[in-house]
Amino acid sequence: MIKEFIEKSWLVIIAALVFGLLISAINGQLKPIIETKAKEKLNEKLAVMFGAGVETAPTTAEFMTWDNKKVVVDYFTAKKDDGLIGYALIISGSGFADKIELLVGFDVELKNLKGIAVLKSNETPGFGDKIKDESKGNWISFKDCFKGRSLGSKLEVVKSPESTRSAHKDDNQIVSISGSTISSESVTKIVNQATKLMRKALDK
Amino acid sequence: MSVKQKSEAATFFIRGLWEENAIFRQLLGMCPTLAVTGAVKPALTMGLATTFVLVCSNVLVSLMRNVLQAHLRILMFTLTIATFVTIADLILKAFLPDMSETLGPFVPLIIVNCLIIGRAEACGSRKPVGTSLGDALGMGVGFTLGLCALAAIRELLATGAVFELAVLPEKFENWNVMQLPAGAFITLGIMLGLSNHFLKKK
Repeated sequence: MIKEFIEKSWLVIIAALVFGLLISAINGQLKPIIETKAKEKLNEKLAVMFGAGVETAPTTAEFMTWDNKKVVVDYFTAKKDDGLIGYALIISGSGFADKIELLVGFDVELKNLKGIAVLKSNETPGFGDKIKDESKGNWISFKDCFKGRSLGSKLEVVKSPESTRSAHKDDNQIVSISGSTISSESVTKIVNQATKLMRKALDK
Repeated sequence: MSVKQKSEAATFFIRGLWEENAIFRQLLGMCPTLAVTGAVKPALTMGLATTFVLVCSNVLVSLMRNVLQAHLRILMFTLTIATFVTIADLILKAFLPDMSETLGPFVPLIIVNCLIIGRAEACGSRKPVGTSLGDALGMGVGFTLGLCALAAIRELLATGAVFELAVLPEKFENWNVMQLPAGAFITLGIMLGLSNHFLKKK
């Protein structure tokens, strides 16, 4: 019985062992590189958000919700020349096609946004993926619409021509990307959620 | 390698490039063909990753063809292919993280690319190593060229650029649809029609 079993399947057993070892050896070699690259990418985005020379450190905060559930928030504190200049939070939510992961930056008092950066997204090419666009000349991109935005009241998406973005700089109205209402609303919703979480976490 | 074996390997290599091209003649590997050909860069990366897996698995399958038992062969093919796909995925993540993100789930999906398992069954498990290597290289390069041709047309019409280098004048109105799935189907359909029209065996 055992002999028959071995006779029929020895190749599979050996192959599984050899292949398993091969993959784990390669994974052991490459994993540190993958992790360093991911960290570098995040640090780059943090430096763009808070300016060069910023030092960021991961921190955790806990708070209880009204129904006694414990929520743990992982965020970054940003320091420059030993003074606290802001906070940043990684948060994800559903987009049009897939999850969107954002890095949202705040100032110390949580009164203004420092900006947002898209870490992961899979929105429709040519439409929803414009959430990643950078500003060009006089044209303000959707992403940069959040930069310096006051957090006095909940942010809302409005459908106006994209050229009016600069006119809406100080209120709570975010001009959507034309043709991608759902992606625009998803990002705004995630930013609102991040603000709520950060306020709870810091009790501000 | 004898002269006969060498010429056999060369024949298989040439055959994979055009006569039995994976995309235009065999219609295999349609999932990556439609999904990652929005631009030339991801298409090229995908083609090279597939070629790497194809070559490694075809050679390995050919090496063990004499001890391969018929009832276990599909299992062994899948195991071999999955191993090399995992390795390719790790390499992409470590050295081309942005590209790995763009390709997303389509790198692990190389495991179910019919082209690879098809070559393991049709060539790797029957022919000696040299022939299998030639066959895998031919099929892989043919597949890569097919992907790049499709991607070049789509990228040119969707963004006015090829390989992210601007080609068309700035006045050109981008055809956004070419970046979307519809554009993939339209381009592939037209290319298949043209290749059938001009190359049908008389």
